[in-house]
Amino acid sequence: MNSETATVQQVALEKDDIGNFSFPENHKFDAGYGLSKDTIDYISKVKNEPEWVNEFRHKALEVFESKPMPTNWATEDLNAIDFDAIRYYLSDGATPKRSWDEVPPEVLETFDRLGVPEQERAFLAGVEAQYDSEAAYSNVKEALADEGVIFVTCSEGLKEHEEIFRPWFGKVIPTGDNKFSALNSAVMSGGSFIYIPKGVKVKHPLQAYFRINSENFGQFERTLIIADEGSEVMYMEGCTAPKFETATLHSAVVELVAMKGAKIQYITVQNWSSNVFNLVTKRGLAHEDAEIRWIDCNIGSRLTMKYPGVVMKGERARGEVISIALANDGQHQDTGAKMIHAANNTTSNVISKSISVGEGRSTYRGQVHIPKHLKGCKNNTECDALLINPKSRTDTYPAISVKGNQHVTQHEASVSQVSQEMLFYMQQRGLSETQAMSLAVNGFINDLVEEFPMEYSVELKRLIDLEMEGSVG
Amino acid sequence: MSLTIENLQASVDGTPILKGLNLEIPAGEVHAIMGPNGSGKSTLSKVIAGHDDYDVTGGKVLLDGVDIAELEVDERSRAGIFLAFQYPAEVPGVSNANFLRAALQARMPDGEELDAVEFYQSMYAKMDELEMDRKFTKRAVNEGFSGGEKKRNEILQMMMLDPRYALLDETDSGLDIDALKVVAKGVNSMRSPQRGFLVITHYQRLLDYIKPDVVHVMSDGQIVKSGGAELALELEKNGYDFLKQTA
Amino acid sequence: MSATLTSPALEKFDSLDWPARTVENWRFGSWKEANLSSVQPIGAGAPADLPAEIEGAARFVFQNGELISGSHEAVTPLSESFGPESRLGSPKLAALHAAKSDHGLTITTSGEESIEIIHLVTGEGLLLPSLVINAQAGAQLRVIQRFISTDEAPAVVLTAVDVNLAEKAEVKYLVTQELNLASKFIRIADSCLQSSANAKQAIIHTGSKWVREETYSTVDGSDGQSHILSVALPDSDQEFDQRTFQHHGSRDTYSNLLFKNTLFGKGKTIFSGLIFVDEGAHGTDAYQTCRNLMMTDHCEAHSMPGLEINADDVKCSHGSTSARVSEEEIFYLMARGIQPKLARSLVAKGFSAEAVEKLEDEMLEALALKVVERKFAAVD
Repeated sequence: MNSETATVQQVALEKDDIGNFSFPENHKFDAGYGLSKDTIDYISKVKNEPEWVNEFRHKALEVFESKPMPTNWATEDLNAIDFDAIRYYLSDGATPKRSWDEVPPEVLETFDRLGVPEQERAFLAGVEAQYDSEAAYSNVKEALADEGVIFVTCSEGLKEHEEIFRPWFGKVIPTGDNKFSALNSAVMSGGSFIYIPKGVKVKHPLQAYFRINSENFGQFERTLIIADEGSEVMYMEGCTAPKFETATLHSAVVELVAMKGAKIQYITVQNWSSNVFNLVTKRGLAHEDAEIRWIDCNIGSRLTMKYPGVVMKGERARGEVISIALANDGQHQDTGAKMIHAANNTTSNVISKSISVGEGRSTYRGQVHIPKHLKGCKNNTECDALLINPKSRTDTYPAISVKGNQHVTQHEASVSQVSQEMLFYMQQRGLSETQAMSLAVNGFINDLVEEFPMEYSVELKRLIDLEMEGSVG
Repeated sequence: MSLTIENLQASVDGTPILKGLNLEIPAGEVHAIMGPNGSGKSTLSKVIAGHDDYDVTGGKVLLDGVDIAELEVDERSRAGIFLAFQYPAEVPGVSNANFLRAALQARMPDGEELDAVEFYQSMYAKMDELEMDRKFTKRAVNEGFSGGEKKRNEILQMMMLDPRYALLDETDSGLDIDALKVVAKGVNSMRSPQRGFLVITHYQRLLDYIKPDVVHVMSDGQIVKSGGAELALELEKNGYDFLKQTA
Repeated sequence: MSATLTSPALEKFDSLDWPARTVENWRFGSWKEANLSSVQPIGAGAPADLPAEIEGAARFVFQNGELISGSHEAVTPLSESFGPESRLGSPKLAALHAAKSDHGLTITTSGEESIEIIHLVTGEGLLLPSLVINAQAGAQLRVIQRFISTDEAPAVVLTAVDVNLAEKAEVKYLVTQELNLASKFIRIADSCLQSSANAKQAIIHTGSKWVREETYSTVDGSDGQSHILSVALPDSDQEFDQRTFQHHGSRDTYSNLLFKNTLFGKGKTIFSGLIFVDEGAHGTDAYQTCRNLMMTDHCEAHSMPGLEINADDVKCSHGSTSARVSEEEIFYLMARGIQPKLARSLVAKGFSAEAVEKLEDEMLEALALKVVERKFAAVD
């Protein structure tokens, strides 16, 4: 082993240290290995679900089983997932606690180490903390609850707020959208349901933290956020898992609905350990004058496939995806954006920046769709890739479809490396090569990092610095 | 014979910019309009040229006594109005020579063809006057031109199209002193009893080289003061502060 | 198609499937159009008025499959296919060409030559021309290839071309596809450049109701430069489906692709392009641009520009835009007295001219622009 790879591995260890610990399993409920109709009935029973949800799950299982792996366009690495070697439901009970004091000690310690209660006190309006299949803790500040803001787990949402929940559930992302949205629909557990009443502007972010503690496990949270007319909300999600020897699966579905004039910002910092397959479907529906922004950062996981989308259904709706991806050795960040313009004068913007380090691979896939008989639609897409090492790899596969002469679309992509001249300049001023490289990389994504809330952007920069250590020399 | 503007009112997206502007430029005279940023100077030139971003909400523009309200941009141009743009558009793939030929051809009666030899002779002569390289003829209109090259090109077009009234919008911006002299020489060579000029500028400097007969001060969409060439010097010395005092 | 003949090529053809919806290289494409199972071989050709001669170029004329005129020491007639490969979704069509093509030319030279090839296409049925260009070290070659219909019958032209440039060879190659609006045109084009070779390929598409074109360019030697240009002007129900691949197999190579589509009527374009940089092909400069000028409310453009980069010391970019004629440009032209319709047409022709100019060859540019002009006049 040469010194370069040694440093890379040390860094990888250090990086995973953030979430690289686990407690012995202590589950009351375990659906066992493999996926069958019985698994689904077991989950429904533990969760005491209404009949319609159980039926929904069974239909989804059929769709999942009927759909092939999308390896005709996606990576063959998907075939490494062994669906029989995964446990689909592990929990200590389906009801989250409203106070950290009631949370089991090892779960509390987990989230303490990850800084979740501390952040809640500092700047969050509400928190949900998911441990394996269920939320261990879920709470929203009283003042918001008084205004009618609902922030509960998805299971609570579908039971206690069916009249608001059900009309939009599965409507933005139908079960059959893709193989993994079908899988999620069959075995979903955890995730959030959020409703922001008309005109309510939630000042502080709501946060969900997803923690995987158990080996050979799949996490399948499901989130639905409805922002009613004129309301505003920012939602942030973070995640970690210990680094196990075996592959772990995370397959979420997130649906956003922004009613007339509403604004939703959805922020993700994905830092799964490098054994996690992260296959996520995220889409928002923006009505008249509404705005949906996905601000997405992918640093962890073995393979991430995620293409957040916005369907602009009402006039003047706006959609945006801001994406940062960092792929290190053994990682493939396959990310992108889908922008569907379904009304006049809708505007979308995609800015994606990726960094490939070592033998890492980053991929951008994009879709922009502007069908006939619309006017005044605009899309701007920029994808920039930075390659750090000789075996770093990047791909870009956008597809832009435009009908008619009333629209403007613009797509630009570039691939570059950090210029030697710039590195030399910084080194001449006394920085080490690694420091210079870190600075250059941070500079490359700086404008996007600024889109994250301050508390996250500091953490992001630190994570990126860690990734860059040992990448040169 | 004059270009006459009567009580002209125009707005953009509902915001009024020109608020009852009166101005008469008789053939043979050079008028200058000065004024602070945002006073509506550039809007005036675009409205006279017929840009459809601006809604004319009142008043009229008379070209030698004829109301041009119903004329399209190109018809106004052929009727004799020339606008030298502050920011000339780039037209990729269309060479300067072809562009000028098309513009001149558009002025010929139906069935008559522009004489290519005469065209090139005339163009080259004017380019020499403006110290322009012959290579310009093959380059796409304004594409990749420096600020100074674009302005020279505007003046070349003016000289070729021989307008009745020329509106020069901030023609001095982005020019160094040598280029300014060349451009002014081109304009001065075009001065004649048959032609009127409206020179829009923020600075007095241009007027050292193109001597105006009348100077107007524009503020908030109206002409607020008019005078001789000395008014420009006064403005240069004292600035536009007097506008605030009167307001 | 004759069932009695068998050959390895024919067996291969039989073993392959016609293009299908599930093939990624046919995304957005009309894969059904590519099924030629019911198309019969074309009959005898017919004479027609030929376009004006090009000064200094040796002219070869085909009437359907028959070479009726032309001779040059660098050119030999072909009586069978050179065996093209499709790497962009149409192996069945490539195999069909390999099995059935019975005419074409090979141009081999190390000197300075200009060759013009005219394919006159007459009647209904399938025509399978071949062209092989071998530009030997130091050659300076200019090739013009034109496809012209002599009637309104629905022909299907499936043509394949193989362009090889040895060290320091230079090739300028212009294709004009001017078939009638009932015909189909399929072209599989392959080029490979050795070090310091320079290829400039341009195609002008004005005719055919459906076009499928697969252009594969490999630059295999350092300082090789591959320029790939296209001007497509679909009108009414014409559909032009173009797939490209810029392969960088060696260090210090350059490629630049510029496709300009001006869409009229219900015209439809599909552009799918990939820049592929091999591992170790450092110092690659590769660019890819597809621009769609949308002239009507019913036209439709699909763009899929792509990059696959496996080396880090590279400069690669792609861009794709779709928009109507710029109002600012139109205003500028009108402010100089040019009528709105003419202004629009001038700007649109300028848009095509930008690609043509990259040929840097006045004679080829003039010919290409003439073909473009004719289409504009027809659309008008």
